[in-house]
Amino acid sequence: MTRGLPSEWRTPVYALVTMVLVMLTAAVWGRIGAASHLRDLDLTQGADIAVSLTFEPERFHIEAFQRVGRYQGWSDGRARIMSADADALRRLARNYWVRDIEILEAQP
Amino acid sequence: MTDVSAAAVRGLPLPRVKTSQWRGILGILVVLALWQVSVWIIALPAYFYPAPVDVAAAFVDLINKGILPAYIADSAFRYATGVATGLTLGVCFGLLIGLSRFWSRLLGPIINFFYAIVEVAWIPLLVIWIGYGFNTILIAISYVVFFPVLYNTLTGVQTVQQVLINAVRTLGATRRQVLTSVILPSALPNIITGFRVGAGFAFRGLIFAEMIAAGSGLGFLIFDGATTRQTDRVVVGMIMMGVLWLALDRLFLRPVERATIERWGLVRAQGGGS
Repeated sequence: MTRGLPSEWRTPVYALVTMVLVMLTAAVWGRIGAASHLRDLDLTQGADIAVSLTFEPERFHIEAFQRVGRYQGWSDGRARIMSADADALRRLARNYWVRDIEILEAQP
Repeated sequence: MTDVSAAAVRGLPLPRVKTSQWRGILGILVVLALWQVSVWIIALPAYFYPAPVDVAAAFVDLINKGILPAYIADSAFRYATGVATGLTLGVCFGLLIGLSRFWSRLLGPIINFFYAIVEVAWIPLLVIWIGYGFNTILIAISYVVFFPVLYNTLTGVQTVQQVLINAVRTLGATRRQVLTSVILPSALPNIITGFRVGAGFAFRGLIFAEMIAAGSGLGFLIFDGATTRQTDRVVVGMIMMGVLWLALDRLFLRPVERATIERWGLVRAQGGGS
């Protein structure tokens, strides 16, 4: 691929190509992960959801939840988010640190 | 023959790493060992003086939680955008001032004045004017890159041999052709040198701007780690800064500088003959 390239330009070009490939792989991996997280969910606008994590959320994660909807707190390994925006939820689901997403049952 | 090359001759499955690189790796290992030993000897609390194993654990934790990749991506985007903006403006203003006596007299003193004002001094004012976030960081980084690129471009333009300009003019070249065929190629090695210097300063500017004006990025990781007494995260941020700078310098800046300077004949390529 880089046979015609002067030797001194090979290192930057290889590095750039590697970076692009890593970013593409991460993006594809994220989309596959999101599809599996959201497979059985009815993403009607404004649904209340619970996001499972394997760790307690920090400021970084809470800010990500707040971009999806109203963050209501953390308990039993799940973050509860009310009135979730469907598109923002799809973006959140692409993160590899999200273990699972489920719709919260309506309280009686 | 060195140990490494001797081992390679004997057919041992060693990777093709130069002796100098082995020495570099050995240096890092020695520093890590001394660090760990000092932790055992001094025996301070981990939040005050974290051990290498604590830092490694914090690194893994930050990766697992998705924080470090997101912060690196944020910092990289801000850095790339800021450097590109600073480079473009620095080259444009360098050419303008270098080619026009009018603009040189008009802008020279002002630019010289602002050169003395470091970007750190601007950041509080930028936060008041623009607010926290991307734009403030972008301006801070561009500002840092702008001056080395501008002054190097200026030097490059001013040291173009007049005989070359005269030669192409006698062949009927227009002003634009003189600029694109003589001045820019002659100034290119200086521009690239200014770019490399500016890119180094920009990295420091980025970290400082993120400490003050951002809610993400490596600078913020260091700042947040200090305020929450997670010093292991502070050290992770510092190490990542060093690693990213080394990667940027070795993989992009040095090869580009070498290629450009060799291409335009300031130095001879290694092994290029006499």
